[in-house]
Formats: sequence, structure tokens, C-alpha cells
Amino acid sequence: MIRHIVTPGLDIAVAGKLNEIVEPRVFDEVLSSARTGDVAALGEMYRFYQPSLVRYLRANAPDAADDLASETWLDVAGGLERFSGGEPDFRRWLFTIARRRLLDDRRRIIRRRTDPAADDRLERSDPAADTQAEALGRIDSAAALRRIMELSPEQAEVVLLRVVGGLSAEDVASILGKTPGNIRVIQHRALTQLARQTERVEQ
Amino acid sequence: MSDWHDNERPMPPIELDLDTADRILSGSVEAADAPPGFESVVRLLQAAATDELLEINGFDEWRAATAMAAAMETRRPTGGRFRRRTALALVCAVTVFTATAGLAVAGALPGPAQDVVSKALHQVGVSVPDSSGHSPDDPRPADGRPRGSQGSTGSQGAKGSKGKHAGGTGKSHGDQGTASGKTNGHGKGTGTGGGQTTGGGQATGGDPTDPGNRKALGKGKTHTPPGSGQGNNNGTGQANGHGQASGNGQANGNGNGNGNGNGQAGGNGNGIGNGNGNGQPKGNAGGTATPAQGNENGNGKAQGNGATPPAQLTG
Repeated sequence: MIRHIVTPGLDIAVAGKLNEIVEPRVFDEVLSSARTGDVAALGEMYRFYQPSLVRYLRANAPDAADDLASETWLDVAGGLERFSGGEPDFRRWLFTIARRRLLDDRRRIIRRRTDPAADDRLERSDPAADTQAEALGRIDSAAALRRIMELSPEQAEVVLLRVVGGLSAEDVASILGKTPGNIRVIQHRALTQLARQTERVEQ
Repeated sequence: MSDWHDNERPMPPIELDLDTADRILSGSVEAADAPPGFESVVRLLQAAATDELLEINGFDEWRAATAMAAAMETRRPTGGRFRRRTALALVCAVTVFTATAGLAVAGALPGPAQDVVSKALHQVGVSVPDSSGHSPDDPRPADGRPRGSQGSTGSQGAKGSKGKHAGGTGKSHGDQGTASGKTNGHGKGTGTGGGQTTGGGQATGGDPTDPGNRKALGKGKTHTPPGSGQGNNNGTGQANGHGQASGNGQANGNGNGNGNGNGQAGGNGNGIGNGNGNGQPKGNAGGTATPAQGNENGNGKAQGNGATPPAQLTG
């Protein structure tokens, strides 16, 4: 996909490399430019990773997702000079930071909470509409994320990082501090659980 | 119309192996190729992976990139890595210096290190005790060298007995006397010395390796065999002692000195003098005199009064 974005400070030539960034050569080029503080390269990385990052954060913390994404990118900017590795490494690093910001946010909420708060995920979901859409074979991204979040927290975390984050089982294991074999077992149980939920919906 | 029980179908077992589950989550399995019962799961995961939730416009992108660049700029130290390393080295040096000074003030450093740090800090006006517990701020002799503990006196010249029993090489005068010794020595802060004491009340002592001089002169009239004194000469000291000299011509004296130095000088009738200086500014000196042997490297003065039993002087 070639995008020509007329944005102040953004080099159109660099901006056209969206989706090519996963190629090692392109990623190295963008990364080396981004390390120098090049706005165009930073914008390229932001544009490529921000959608999946925000989806991951919105699934976990809908109200704070945008703020958490901003904090994540600022952390990335702060550590970009020290980062070394390829695109998969950067993706794993990015989601590791995002998860830490997410956990910090959860701890912050727990500390400040004075009365029982409603679960944002359930509050925003519309089970009837979701069921109808699924029955027709149409399900949007938000409904799909809500369905995933109905899994156990551990299963939901693994599925989100794998599907939304685009990470491998090994990367997810690294982020969550588990073994790859453990992740495979968790994701297998998660898919089985999703299949049972879907089957109940269809019935 | 069928019975409602007809609609209650048993749930088919869902079979999925670990590898297939992994491929589904990798997005490499299409819904049509999914195992039975997992088609909808694949569609659901595909929907979750789509980007329809978020549309990033150019302005957001530019704003985020600019903020990131600004954050990188503020975190980037001016002057590059050289300054960063220099600052790091400076911080390390200050940390080490502070820790060393703290240990020195507490007197927790090993002896030589404590001395070095004590001297170094003294140059900048900080008083830290050395390994012997002395502070460099203690009074100094006129020559400016640090005043350590006193060198021990040589054994005091004891006033021996006078009489018929006197024999040998010495003579004793009087039955009893007192010996007082005074040493004026110059020495460094540390050192041990061997002294030589004459039974006649003159004791000299010092360490051959000790640049200081010490000489002890006793006023006692006892003539005892020359004795030697050993002691630590740690600077300038003054000892006033009194003692006894045995009538056999050997002086027995105990010298206790008060002076500028520290130490003990005691003279015993057997003429062996030992002195120990502990490096304190003031103290006592003790020594024992023996027939003279040793080296004289000091200037000291002992004034002693000794008392002896009826003299039986021996050589």
C-alpha cells in the first residue's frame, strides 16, 4: 500500500513504505532514521504499529487506551536509541511496553478505586447484537474483541497478543514470562472455549 | 411438531491439536480450511485482527511523531557520549571518594590506607584520625613534624645504693633514690627503637631506623652496668620517672613519664629497658635497662631518681 500523506515534516518517500516495514531491510532503514529523531521515520513506525497497539489496549482498557498508547510511544522514543534487533523484536518490545503501561494503569485504578466500578468491557458490549451478527456470519472487530475478552484473563491475553499483536507463541511466552509450550496449551484451550461459545450462539 | 427433546442434540466433541491451534492464531488457516467447529472461530479472530477500529489520519501521525522526536531530543544528552562517560566517571569518582572518606572518618580503613587518607584529608583541613587513632591536628613540635607518641625513655638512671656492696662495674649511691627521666626526642609518628642506657642514669634510646633522636639522661648517681632500652619512639616525648635500683648494681627503675609523647619507660634493675609508644600525644613511658646494648639514635634526656637496696653491683 502506498500512501501519500501531506503532513508537515513527513517525508512522502519514507511515508510510502507502510506494510513494507516488516521487511528486514526496510525496517532497518526506518529504524536507523527513527533513532536520529527523524519525524518521518517515527511517523512511519507509528502509522504501522499504532492500529494493533490501540486494539490491544482498547480490548483491555477501553477508556484509557489512547493515553496508554501515547505513553507507550513515548517510552519507545526514550528507548529507541538503545534498541537493537529486527522487526519481530521491535514488535515484541512494543507490546511488552504496552502491557507494562496497561498493568500500571490497572494498579492505578485499584489504588484510586473507592467504590465498585462497572466493567467497561461488559458495559460497552451488546450481546444480542453480537449474537445476531455472528449468526449472520458478520462480526465486527469490536464484537470480536469483546468475545475474546470473555475468555479467562490468561487466555484472552494470549489470544490478543497473538492475533492483535501479531506475535509468535515464543514472543508471547517471553512477554508473559511463560514457556512457549505453556502458551500453546493456553491458546489451544482458548480456541476450544471460543468454539464452544460460538456453538452455543449458533444454537 | 416434534418433541422439544428432539432439538437437544449432544454437543459434538471439538478436536483440535496444538499445531492447528497455533496456525489458526497465526492467521494461516482460512475459515474454509478450519477443523469442524472452528470456522466461526477463525472468522472471529480475523475480525479481531482487522484495522477497522482505527483510522489514523496524517495529523495524528505527525503529532505523535513530533512528540516522539521531542522526547528523544530531551533525553539525548548534549555533548554526546563523551560527556556522558565523563559525567559517569565523575559520579563514580565522587562516590568512591565519599565512601572512602566516610570509612576514614569512621576509622574503618586498613591501617596504611587510613594513614594515607588521614594525611590527604588533613591537607584540605579535614581532621581524620590515622591508624593509631591520632589526629593530624594534634600539636606538633617546632620542626613541624608530626608529634607522635613519645619515645620511651631509656631506663632511668637509678640512684643506686651506696655502700660496701657495690661492686662490679658500677657503683651505687644511696639506698634509695628516685629517678625521673625526661626524654626529649624527635621522632616520626611510628617507629620502634632500641635504646641504650647507662646504669649511671643516662639512657639513650632510639631506633636505628628512626630519624628522630632521643637521648635520655638520668641524674641518678647509681652506677649500674650500662643498660639498654627498647621502646617505641614515636616522636617527642617527655618522661619523668622514678624508680629503684637494686643494690647489686642493677638499676631497677620504673619510669612513668608525662610529656608530649606517649609511651612507657620503665627501668628495672636488670638494666633492660623497654618502651612502647602508642602514638598518643600524652602518656607514660616505661622502660627497662639492661647492660647497655643497642643503638642510639635519639636524643633524649632522662632524669631519674632511683632507689636501690644495698648495692650489689654486678657488671
